[in-house]
Amino acid sequence: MNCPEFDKLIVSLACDTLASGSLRAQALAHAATCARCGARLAQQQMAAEGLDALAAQEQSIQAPAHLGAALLAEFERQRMLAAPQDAPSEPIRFRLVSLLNWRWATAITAVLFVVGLTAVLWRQPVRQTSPVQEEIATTVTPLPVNTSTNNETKMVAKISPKPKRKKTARHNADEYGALISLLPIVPSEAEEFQQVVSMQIPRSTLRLWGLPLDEESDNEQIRAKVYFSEDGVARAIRLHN
Amino acid sequence: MKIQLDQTSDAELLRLMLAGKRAAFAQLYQRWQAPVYRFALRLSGSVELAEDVTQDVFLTLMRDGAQYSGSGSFAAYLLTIARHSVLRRLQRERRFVTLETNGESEDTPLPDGLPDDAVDEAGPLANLTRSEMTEAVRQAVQGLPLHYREVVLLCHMQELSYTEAAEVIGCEIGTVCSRLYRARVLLAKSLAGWKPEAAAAPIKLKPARYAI
Repeated sequence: MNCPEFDKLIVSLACDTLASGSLRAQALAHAATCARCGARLAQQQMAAEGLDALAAQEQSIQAPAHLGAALLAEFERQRMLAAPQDAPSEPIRFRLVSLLNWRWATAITAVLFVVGLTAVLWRQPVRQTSPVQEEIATTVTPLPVNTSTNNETKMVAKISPKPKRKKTARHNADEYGALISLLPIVPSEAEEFQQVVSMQIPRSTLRLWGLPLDEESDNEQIRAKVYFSEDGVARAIRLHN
Repeated sequence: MKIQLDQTSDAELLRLMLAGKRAAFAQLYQRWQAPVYRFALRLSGSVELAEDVTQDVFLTLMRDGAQYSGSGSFAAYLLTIARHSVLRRLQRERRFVTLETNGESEDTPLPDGLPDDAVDEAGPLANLTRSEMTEAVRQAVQGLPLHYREVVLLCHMQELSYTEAAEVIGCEIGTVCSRLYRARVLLAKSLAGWKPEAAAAPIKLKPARYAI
């Protein structure tokens, strides 16, 4: 072995990592005969020995404990942040829990209460002023009173559909004449009328109720609205124009 | 099923860690904190910087751990991150220091041999006590130029193979061998004049700049 060949092997030789036993023997033989190469090998071995000693001593050096704690805490934090992406059911549960929170519950209850109250207040006036009551309130006029006792008239009648709103009432008022009381006592309370029946009756029936009629037209059919009280007695009538 | 984490491979621990397993991260940290910290400490010469770098390495592992292919050495992977972090911080802080006599490049001719008294039969280190010797070596290593120092730290202190060291540094294996040889020559040269009583005298350092 010559000096250039030895130079290529010197690092491995000094670290004792030369794989080939024969190469190692040749290199050591050369170092023993060549003063320059021997000195260089000694240099390398000395440094390697010192470094090995240093490495052995530094094995005990550890990172400070607070580093590990901080990193573990950071790992936990990042895991918590990443959790919603990994588990899609988590946010749903979270939202449900939030909704069940008492503050949310109170707010929702308050809103529902206000909405409900508004709806009730809006509906109440409509109920109180039904078409029947409106008509009674506006059209009842004192009429000549007849003392007919046979007020109960049974006839086939078609119950009119439920009274419509104002527009319908106004329309009816145009089609029918004034409200005529069939009883000696004029109903003081509009609420007394429980039912309105549209019917087609012979004119002679009006006579039974005490209303003045021409005898020649007794058989003529007329349309009328009859207002019944709670006890089923016809209380007033409105003739069709 | 309980997994024996202390016998689990680094790649598997990393996979578990990325899946959110805290114990896997703790095990990886326990396994690698010391090598990473020591490497950063000796490469930078600063305790504070070494702590920051160690933190950087494991934070990077949390964030970009999935980039580890699993084919290469895990030690090389971690130490590559550590090395980049150290160099970046050193460049920022401009804390490059080296021994006065070691400001030489790879092209600088090396001395042929040591003084006669340095290569006697017993060897110069035979006269030194163990702790004094290691302290002298530590200071000598710390005084090496950065590109020599990192090779010494990787191949000697971290016991990486030349291939792994080349992977960390990002150079050819031949470059690693060459730098290692030169680093040892410089170390031997520094230690040749060392005597036990001289241990108390600090090695003269001067700031120097090296292109990395």
